[in-house]
Amino acid sequence: MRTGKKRNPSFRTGVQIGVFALVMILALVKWLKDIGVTIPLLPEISLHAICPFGGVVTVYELLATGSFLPKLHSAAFILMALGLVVALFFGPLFCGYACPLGSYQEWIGKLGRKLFPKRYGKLIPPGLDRALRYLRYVVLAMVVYQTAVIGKLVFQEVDPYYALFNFMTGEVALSAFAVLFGVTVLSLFVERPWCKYFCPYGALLGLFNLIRIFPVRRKASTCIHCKKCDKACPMQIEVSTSGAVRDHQCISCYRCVSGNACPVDDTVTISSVKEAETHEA
Amino acid sequence: MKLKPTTTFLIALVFVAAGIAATIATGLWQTESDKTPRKLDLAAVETAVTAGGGTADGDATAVQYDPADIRGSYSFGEISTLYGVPLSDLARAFGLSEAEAGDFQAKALESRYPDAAEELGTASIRMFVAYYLGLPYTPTEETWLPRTAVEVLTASGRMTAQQAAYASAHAIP
Repeated sequence: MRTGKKRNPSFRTGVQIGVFALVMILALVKWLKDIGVTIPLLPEISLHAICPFGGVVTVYELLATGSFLPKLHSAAFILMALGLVVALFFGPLFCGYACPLGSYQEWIGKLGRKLFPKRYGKLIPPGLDRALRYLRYVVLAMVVYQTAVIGKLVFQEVDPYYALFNFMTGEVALSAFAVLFGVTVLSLFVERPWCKYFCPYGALLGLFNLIRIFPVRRKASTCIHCKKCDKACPMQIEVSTSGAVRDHQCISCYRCVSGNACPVDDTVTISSVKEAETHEA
Repeated sequence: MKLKPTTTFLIALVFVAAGIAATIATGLWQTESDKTPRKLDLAAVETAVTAGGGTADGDATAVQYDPADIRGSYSFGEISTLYGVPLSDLARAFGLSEAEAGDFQAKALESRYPDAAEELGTASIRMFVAYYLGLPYTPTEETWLPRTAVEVLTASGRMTAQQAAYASAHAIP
């Protein structure tokens, strides 16, 4: 049975816009407070306090000294822990729905599709693209190691997320602006380039795709091999040849599932292991 | 068990919100510093001070907080209270009036010296406080001080010979 309903992408877009706006508002409120303007009723929270990747890089410091890295607090660590539990069940849902930098790249990408329809998605040769997708694990290892050795937020110096939301503060390193500029330009030709090749937090969450309890699954018996799921995937994963999507690059955006890209009901679904065994039996 | 994308997101949202609410309720959730720096191991400090050629007098070993844990959000007033460095000396060292020094945050130091040949920031304040108190301190990166800060340090008379040499070689006019 086919379905013409496509509600979830708009729900997801709404979530993305909401999270992006929330982070921008928090950054503005903090900056205004720092220059002496207090906005009533709105909390003054540093972006470092709500960045779950901060929780990852402070783990060593916490174990070694019992305290957090400068600029980090328990909130970042708690968000990291909650995020990892969510990833254990649903994979990198944070990347697909909440990450403002991911949303930013998606929106720039939509512009890129219109401006460069022939070049979009074809800039990086497939072989190089496959190899580059492991680069983010190198970035993750380097950031965690360097942070442990130096004892401060070294990633901030090149972090495009920090540059995107703190451009007005005067605290952003030129190198971070350069990376943000590079990501922006690349996003005009490549879908979510930072996520695919460089993001250390995406690398960590991506590993949970290998063990997540609710992966995206394709039911071969009802699949019509239209490959619409493949075309919808922002990470270019071949859902149409998968049983369960265990690719480390899946961002749990669910654009591929039945009701979104998949035109057949109950064919590409989010289901637990037990359900899948029933399917595959 | 099968889930819809919206349901999946809502489950995750409720879980994260409940987690945040629970940690707020139990006092674990913090989004800003509680202004309590890391404590120093006083016995180790005394050994290091003596080994470094300094004198482990009462002043040095009575300090219980680690200067390396000074945060950018600390004001000079808070640093003075927590570490026992007179506000007047902090102000003089970094070119501030005593009146404005009380609320001056460490992270604002860099913008105070926009034309300095080298970066002056929170690391400079950490090193200044450690040297002022005669505490062992290993900079994690090359750290610079204003010339006035080195003069205050020299007058305090607690630096080891090695610290005095480093401070002198890293003074910015």
